[in-house]
Amino acid sequence: MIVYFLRHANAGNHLANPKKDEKRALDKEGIEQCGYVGRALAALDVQVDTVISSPLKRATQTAALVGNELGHEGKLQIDPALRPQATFAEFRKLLDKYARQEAIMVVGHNPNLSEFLGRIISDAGCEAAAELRKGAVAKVELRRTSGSLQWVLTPKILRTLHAAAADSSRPKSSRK
Amino acid sequence: MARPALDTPSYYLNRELSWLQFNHRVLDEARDPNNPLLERLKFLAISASNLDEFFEVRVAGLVQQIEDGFNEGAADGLTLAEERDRINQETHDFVDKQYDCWNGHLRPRLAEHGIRVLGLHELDSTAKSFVEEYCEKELDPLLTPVTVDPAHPFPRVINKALCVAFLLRRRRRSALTYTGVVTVPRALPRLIRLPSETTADFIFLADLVAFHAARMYHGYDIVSSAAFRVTRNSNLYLAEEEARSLLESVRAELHNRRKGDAVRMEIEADADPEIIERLRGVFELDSWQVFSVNGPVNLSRLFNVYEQTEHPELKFKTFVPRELRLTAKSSDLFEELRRHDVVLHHPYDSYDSVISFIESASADDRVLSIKQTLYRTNEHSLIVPALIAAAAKKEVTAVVELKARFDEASNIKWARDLEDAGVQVFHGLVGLKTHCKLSLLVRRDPDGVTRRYAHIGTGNYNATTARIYTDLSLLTADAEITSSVHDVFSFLTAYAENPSYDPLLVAPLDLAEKILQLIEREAHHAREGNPARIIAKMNALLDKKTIMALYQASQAGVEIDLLVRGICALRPGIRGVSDRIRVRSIVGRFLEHSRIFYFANSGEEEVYIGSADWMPRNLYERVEVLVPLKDPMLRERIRHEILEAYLADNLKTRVLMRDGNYRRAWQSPGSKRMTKPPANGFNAQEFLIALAEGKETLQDIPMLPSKARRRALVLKER
Repeated sequence: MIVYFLRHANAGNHLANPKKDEKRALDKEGIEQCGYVGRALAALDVQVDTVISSPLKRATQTAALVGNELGHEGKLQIDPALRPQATFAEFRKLLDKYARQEAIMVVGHNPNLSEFLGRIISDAGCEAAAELRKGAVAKVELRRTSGSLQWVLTPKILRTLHAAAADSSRPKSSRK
Repeated sequence: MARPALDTPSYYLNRELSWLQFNHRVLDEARDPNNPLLERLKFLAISASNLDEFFEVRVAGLVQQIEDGFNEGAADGLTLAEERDRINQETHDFVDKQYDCWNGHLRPRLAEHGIRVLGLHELDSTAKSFVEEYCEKELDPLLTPVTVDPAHPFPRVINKALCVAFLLRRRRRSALTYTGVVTVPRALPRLIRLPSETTADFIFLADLVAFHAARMYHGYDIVSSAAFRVTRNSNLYLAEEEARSLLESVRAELHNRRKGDAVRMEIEADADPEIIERLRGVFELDSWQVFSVNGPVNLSRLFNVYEQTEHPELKFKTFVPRELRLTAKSSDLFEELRRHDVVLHHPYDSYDSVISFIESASADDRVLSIKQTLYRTNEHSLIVPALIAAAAKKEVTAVVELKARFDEASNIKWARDLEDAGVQVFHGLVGLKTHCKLSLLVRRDPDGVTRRYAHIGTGNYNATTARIYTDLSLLTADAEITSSVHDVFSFLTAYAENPSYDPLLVAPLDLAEKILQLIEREAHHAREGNPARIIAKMNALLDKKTIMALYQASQAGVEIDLLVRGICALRPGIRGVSDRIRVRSIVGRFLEHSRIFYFANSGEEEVYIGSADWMPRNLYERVEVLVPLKDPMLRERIRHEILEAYLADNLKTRVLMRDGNYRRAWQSPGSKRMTKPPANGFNAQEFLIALAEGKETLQDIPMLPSKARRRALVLKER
């Protein structure tokens, strides 16, 4: 199975009130980041069977925007195993639940999403140092017990590439 | 004077316009006050989803062809551009009629029964606070307001997804207006049930999105907002010959389908013209491809209202299908089949018998192997688990069609599940869809003889649709037939072509040719003065060669009755060409889906059933099977129970007229007045239900007055 790890995009500053923080929305920058990431993934012809998101607004918004750019037609799944407080064991269970699918995308938060990524690509008991910036996406090819990291893309890289290239990276479909 | 050639364009009806006529008949059922109210709503929803598919596939293909520089049309002589212009006019009229039906008839009638679809301004305080909470809790986390400008390109708009567009103005800044757009992810129901004690109240999600998203654009004034929906080209373009694995290429193309170009935009009628123009530019649409709709942008979602409300008095009465009863002498179905063939007429005869045929084969140790085709099956199909269970103990082969339109994704899943379980899965032949419905068992019977048993159907192995589609099943142990079915499976799995599949007719090998021969044989009988008659029931009639053969048969004096539910390109009633051909279409509670072909054959009647319509795609691009019924009792049943009843129907039957329009069978030709249907009218589907329940008998089929006359006519000519 292929798992795309996607960290939510920019959403302003942390709020002290946990209830209010859960409802923190993407800011303008974050929405733009989602556009870069979504269009880049679409250009790479990334296909996922399911998009699963943490219930927090900044994550669901990221999942909805990126999923939309991918042309994902399935229902967006919400799972507490991607909450900021969730443990690796809970995350493992989530992966097991979707084990029969070919590719999924999980949308969550730091620090635990980076931790999940670090642990999934190293031997049992170890953890590789992995860092997902806001809006960054990592592709991991998962075999039975461990996975191998294929690549990580950050919105900053994508914006730079985008600016460097003359044309939009958005694929223009050729047929009517 | 020389007779004009049979391929004269005026002898043919246009395929797309004929299809639109069919959808009109579906919409007419929604407008028909004699149908239960919620069923009328369902017909409206069906007409809307039919139209979606028409745009995704047919109109998209047409627009593509025109763009590629083609302009030559089909047998009816319209050029593609003319065809497009007619479709433009017809579809706009159709959509107006749909919304008129919703706003003027169904919505007020439903409200009288306490089923209400409300607008925001119609909510009471309880509903209002529910809506507030729903927006805050469910909707808010999913929505992201996007403003479109050069830095923020237009977000992707997925095929048929709900979106809301806004015209925005920055507060206190400039006179410039911006476009805002909110796409709504598929996580929420499109119609939301509101709390209410006495009524069943609903509100469209689009209304809530417009309401809530407006509050999400901080710092902007909302000038105007409108929900819209874009339909995209959904044809799959496969380069099969080059593909390494068909499964992989279908999967990849399935994904691409979502990116297909836009062919239609539906938008609320009160949308600001500025919004419409901007969106039209974004999606590169001509103005005729924009449909302003006076109501919700997706009428097919009204189906949710049907599902989520009880009110059995507003739906069709449920009925109990007849179970297959074994004769006292037989201990099981296999023994019964060794004695005689069985024909089942679904949904009047229970489809459980077909499922238990496969299930019991799966569990039966005497059964050595199972072969099965799958085209469309239902989500919780019992057949797939039966095949999976059987794979552990016997040889199981499944031919799964991956290109069944709009079912590709679920069929890929089935194919994988079956493969994982050890079933030998084949994806059919390159370039041909496997459309035939076959199941074949090999069984070592208690008497020590190994025999084959087969099921041949006209409908899919799908228990859900089997309850709403009329279809026929033949269960048989006949050695000739089952041996030929075996050969068809060899054709599908190994491309092993036989010179003959007799007694079966198999497309694309000999089916088309044999149909022509059968029609010509009737013409010959008529010329000789022998009894000749054709009754053919199918979903669509389009193949030009077949139509020409029918014209020739009509000219030779054969009386021809066609029961064509959908598209019919044959024009009946042309003097000297088709004056002996009558075309009827039945649109009613059940979707007419069975294909039956009856030939009088000078007294040696022949009846065929199977999966093929008389369309080029069925005859030349698919693997299809027609099987003759050998048992005279079964032929008798088809002729005198099923076909007789359909021909006698005068409530749900529409008769195709020479001008290409249809009129109700009870309306007199020429009169445009909507008179009332006769009180003692005959509804074939209702009659067949009553017959299955034992409440009516064959004697209750009224004798056709015209039939007696027709007989007299035939005699006179002889």
